[in-house]
Amino acid sequence: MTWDFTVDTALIRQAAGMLDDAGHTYRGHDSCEVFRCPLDDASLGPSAAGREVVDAAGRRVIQAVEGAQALGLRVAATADGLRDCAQAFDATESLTGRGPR
Amino acid sequence: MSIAPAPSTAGLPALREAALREGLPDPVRLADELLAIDAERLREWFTVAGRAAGWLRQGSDRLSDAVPALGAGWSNPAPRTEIAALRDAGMSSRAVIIEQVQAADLACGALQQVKWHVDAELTAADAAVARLGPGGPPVLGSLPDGRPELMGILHGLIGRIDELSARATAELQSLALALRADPRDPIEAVPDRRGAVPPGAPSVPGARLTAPSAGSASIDTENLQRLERDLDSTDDATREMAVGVESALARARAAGGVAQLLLYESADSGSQGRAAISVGDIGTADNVATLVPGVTNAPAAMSDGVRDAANLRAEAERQSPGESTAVISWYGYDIPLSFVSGVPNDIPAEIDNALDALDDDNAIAGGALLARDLDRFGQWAPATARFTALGFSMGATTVSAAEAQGAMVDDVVLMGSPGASAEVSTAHDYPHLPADHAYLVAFDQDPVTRARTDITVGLLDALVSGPRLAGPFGPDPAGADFDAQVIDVTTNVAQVDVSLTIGGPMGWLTDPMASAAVQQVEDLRHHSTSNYLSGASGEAAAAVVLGHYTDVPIKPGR
Repeated sequence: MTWDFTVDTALIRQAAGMLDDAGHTYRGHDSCEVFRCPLDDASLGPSAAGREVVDAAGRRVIQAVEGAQALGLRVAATADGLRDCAQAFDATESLTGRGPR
Repeated sequence: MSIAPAPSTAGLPALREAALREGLPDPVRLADELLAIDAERLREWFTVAGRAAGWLRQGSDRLSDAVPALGAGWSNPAPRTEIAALRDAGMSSRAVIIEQVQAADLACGALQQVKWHVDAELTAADAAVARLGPGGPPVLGSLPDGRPELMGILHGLIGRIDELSARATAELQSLALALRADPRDPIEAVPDRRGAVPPGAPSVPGARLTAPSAGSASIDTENLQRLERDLDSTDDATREMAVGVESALARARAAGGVAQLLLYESADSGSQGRAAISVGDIGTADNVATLVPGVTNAPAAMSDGVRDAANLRAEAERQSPGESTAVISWYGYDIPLSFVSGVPNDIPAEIDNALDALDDDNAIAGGALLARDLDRFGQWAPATARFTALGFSMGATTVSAAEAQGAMVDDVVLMGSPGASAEVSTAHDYPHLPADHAYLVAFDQDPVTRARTDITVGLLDALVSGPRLAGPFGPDPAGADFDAQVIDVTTNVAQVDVSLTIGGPMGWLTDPMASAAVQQVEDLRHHSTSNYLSGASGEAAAAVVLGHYTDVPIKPGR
């Protein structure tokens, strides 16, 4: 398979920097805060619904934070991948000595 | 703003006393339970989710800006498509979170209103009682029987508190439903292409869109290696168990895609060995259930246990398709009568193994092992995973004994239990498990859960080991005194009533005795794992595994 693309590695690196910023934001600006659910089993009363909410609230809020942070890590990895690609394009460029494709 | 506990003039104690005398529910106790609901703390907790939603919106905005910037530098659309997919996943996750935060906010507001109304009702009732009769409120202990004004106030208060309680429950049920969605699902649904080279990127080392994943060593590598060695063992017992476990692993793989051998200890001439197989990946599971079998089972024949585990997992995933559940079939205790289906042991070991069925000694020793293994499983699972231990028959006694010895799980489900082990008297004796997280299924027709089984086995046990102070398997967990959550379901096996006529001069005596004996055998058809894990009973067990407590029908203990 052949590809015919236009590449500007400086702009790819610039986009990678924007992804870094996005990843940092997804991770809550790399906050080290540890979140602990303040609810205990009896906080919402003895009903089954109360216990289910306590159980689910404890997990869902933590999972909301975890999900955002996991997305931040994937975006950061994508940024690294873009930089690797830019480097590879530069290396190819220096080997072939041709101008922009 | 917080609401103070119920006011305390003589009016409310008088109402409580009247309610007690009339056999009516105590409205002040129910009111106090409603006033104790900590809605503000719930609201505060969801501000953390609100912050995560903010990160997701801001991060996705930045990704939106990056997409055209990347397009200017690289005309290949594939990387942009991938970044846009991550952005969209972030926004979808945020939508789930926002919905949950709003649901929590609504519920908190409604619960706060309920508390205001409860407070107002108590104050009004208190004042109304104080106005009764000449000379102020009635003196405690001297209330005139059937005093109509007082009874009117009491019935009115009970009705209004009941209404408010129902409203609070409805609000909590609505919030519970909103919280069944996992905000990570949209993010996990995006294929992880770490390590893949994007189309159009130059084929030189390092040219990949995303960084390679760290990779994690399989948690069961060592166990699998031991199993592999045992398959070639010259010891018949060792080899037979290995063959059985290998077959069970294949069944688990077929059912769950991922099968993990979490525990493997070889059998030999004096032991049936120990094994645990997870159907589904414990490393990524939202819910982890551990299923413990009863007597006559053995690791060499654990395919049956894996089948039950797979069925429970399928039911959990049917009820909550967005969540991943791993069910561990745990054959980790010295199961009585295991030689029936397991590897051949020496004769003294088999006799000892048969006698083990007469009491809860093996369940108590197994409970300690289960508590330890659950701790290890907890280290392999995600931090937010829910843990449930379920046991059938002697397995239920083992689960109860594990809880009594400090096992850390969110819930237990005891099915067809002959007793809760001598380690506990009630469900309140579990050190790390609130009593209302101890669930129990006992079919009325199942003879093993009835007292007469304890008496029969107790007599046999007394002949072998001497008399005991308590029953051979501990208290009946289905009893009202035990105070567990008794699940309101019926057996899936059709009831057959046996009536034999032998006749003859002693027929009046032999006919009922023979009928009772055959009925007992017939009733044993109700005592099977597959019966307890199918139909409404299986649905309830899966609902507990998921933490969907509102879906579990409860009835009073017997």
